[in-house]
Amino acid sequence: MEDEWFRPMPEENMMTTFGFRGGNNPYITDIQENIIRLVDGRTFTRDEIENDTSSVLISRELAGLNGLSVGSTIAFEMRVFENTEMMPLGGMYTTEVAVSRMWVEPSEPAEILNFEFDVIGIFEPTRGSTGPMDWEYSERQNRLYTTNVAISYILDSRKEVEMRINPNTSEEQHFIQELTTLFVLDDPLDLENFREAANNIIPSHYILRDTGEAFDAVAAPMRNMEFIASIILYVAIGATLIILSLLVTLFLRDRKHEIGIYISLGEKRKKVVGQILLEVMLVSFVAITLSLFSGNLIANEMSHTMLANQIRMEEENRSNDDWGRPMSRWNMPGNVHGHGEEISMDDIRDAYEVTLDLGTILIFYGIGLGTIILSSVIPIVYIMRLNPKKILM
Amino acid sequence: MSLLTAKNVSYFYQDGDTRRYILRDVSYGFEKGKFYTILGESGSGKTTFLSLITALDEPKTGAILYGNEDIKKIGYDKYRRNKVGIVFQEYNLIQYMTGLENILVAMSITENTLPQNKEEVALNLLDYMGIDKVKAKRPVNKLSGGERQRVAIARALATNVDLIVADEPTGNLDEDKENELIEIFKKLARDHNKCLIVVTHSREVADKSDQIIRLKKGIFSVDE
Repeated sequence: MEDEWFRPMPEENMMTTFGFRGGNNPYITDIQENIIRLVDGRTFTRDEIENDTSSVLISRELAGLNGLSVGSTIAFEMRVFENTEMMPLGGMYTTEVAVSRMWVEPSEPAEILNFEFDVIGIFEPTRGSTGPMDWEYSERQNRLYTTNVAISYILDSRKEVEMRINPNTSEEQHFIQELTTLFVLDDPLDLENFREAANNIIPSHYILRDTGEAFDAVAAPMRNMEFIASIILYVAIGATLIILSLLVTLFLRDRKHEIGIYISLGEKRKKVVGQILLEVMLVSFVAITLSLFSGNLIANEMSHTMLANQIRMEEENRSNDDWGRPMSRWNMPGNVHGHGEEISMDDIRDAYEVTLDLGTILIFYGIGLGTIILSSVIPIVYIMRLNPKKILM
Repeated sequence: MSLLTAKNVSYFYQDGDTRRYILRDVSYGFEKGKFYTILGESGSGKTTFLSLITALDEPKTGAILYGNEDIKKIGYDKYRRNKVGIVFQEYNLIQYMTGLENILVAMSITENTLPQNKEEVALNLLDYMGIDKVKAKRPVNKLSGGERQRVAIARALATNVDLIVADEPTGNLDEDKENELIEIFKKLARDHNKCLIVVTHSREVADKSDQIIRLKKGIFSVDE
């Protein structure tokens, strides 16, 4: 096996690569994210995550094509070239502090590095292929999961050779390898802080992108909608103030006689006001609760429709710019050399959900009940000024 | 000692520089255990006087004293809540409630000490007024005019006040019902030591009271 290249999938795709993906998660994030599932063997132990440089998980298809199984040993050559234009491509690039090798026509390498790996697990992607041009599918089939320690070992080995055979190359050029590091945040709300902190420390030749950028493509119309919704909200509050004030006033005019009786019996006006407010608030509370949940359902449906339309437009626009290819995960905004592929338009569509959290609910009730209290001010003044003599005698 | 005293009470409307007097310097004391009628023609100031002694309005000059205390000082709402029961010509009951509920509302508003079993007391009161339990639990808009007036009187009594003021209480009643009501007023004054002040334009009603007060052009005169 050492004398031949492993056959990547699909073999007719000349741009297909073997991709190594390292990690410090023993359970492998892609398994947890249901991008792949383990079908044989195991994932890493904590000890392997910290110390091991030779364990990998490979795809079932790759294993089948190359007669590999759990327990097999596979060897890779890394060919390091003298500094040429092809240098960056001839090297390795990393994903999740991982390396992979571009499948290029080999010329004479200056030096060859050998790495051996033990297959400890077999996985398969959860999503099937959509056709021969499904690059994402073949990329997943040709992906090998290993540890960050293994990736560091490979990178260090390469760095040592590179610096020896290309001594005149700057430090920066040595490491123009398409290195991608993926950080998974526990809480998306930490993203801004993370971005700020990371931008302060990353080297100049690195850029920081977040997979959320994929959402930006469809976020603009949503932001427009948000702006329009805000205006509608303010107009609605204004209209509600006027309409409810009139309604409550009319409601009180209807009950003027009853209120006059209460006052003639000596009832405290603040108690009468309290009772009116309580009645209005109770009815409003039921109305707000109903509108909250029914509004959420309607908003969800509307948002999905709008989003679907926007996605369709985006796809049409992109297909025109992309040799007529339908929008794939590779050319999605936010795709970072294989890392953005987890976010597709379908993912965005599926992930987009109008949900109610406690804060939203409290704000909704706050605005609703606040508006109603404000609407009741004029009618309350009307009660306070009511003269029972004029009503009853 | 008078339960209620009108002391130099005047009420007028300001019309430019001129004052149009409705009541002019009225002074009179009302005692417990007596049934008073205030007799006068339309526009004589009867209703205005009633609105002043029930604190539904306040005099322009002078004062209304309950005992020795100005009702303004007591507080008009508090005075109505705890000191006086009002019976209106148009009953002024809450239409969607039963007679019993109307009385319980008044009992819940007053701060006077009342028995714990308020519903039972209210039913007894209604029974005393000739409203049986079945009728007591009917919405008042299902009762006749006479029955509604009895409910209104029961409501005025329910708060355990000494002073009952009624505005033309027999105005909508036939002669039989009118007589029955007058008997009730007399009983309340004599047997229960209440002070009954009834505003009326009916000479027949006035003749059956203990004291007739004539009101003409805002000036009181008392029949001896």
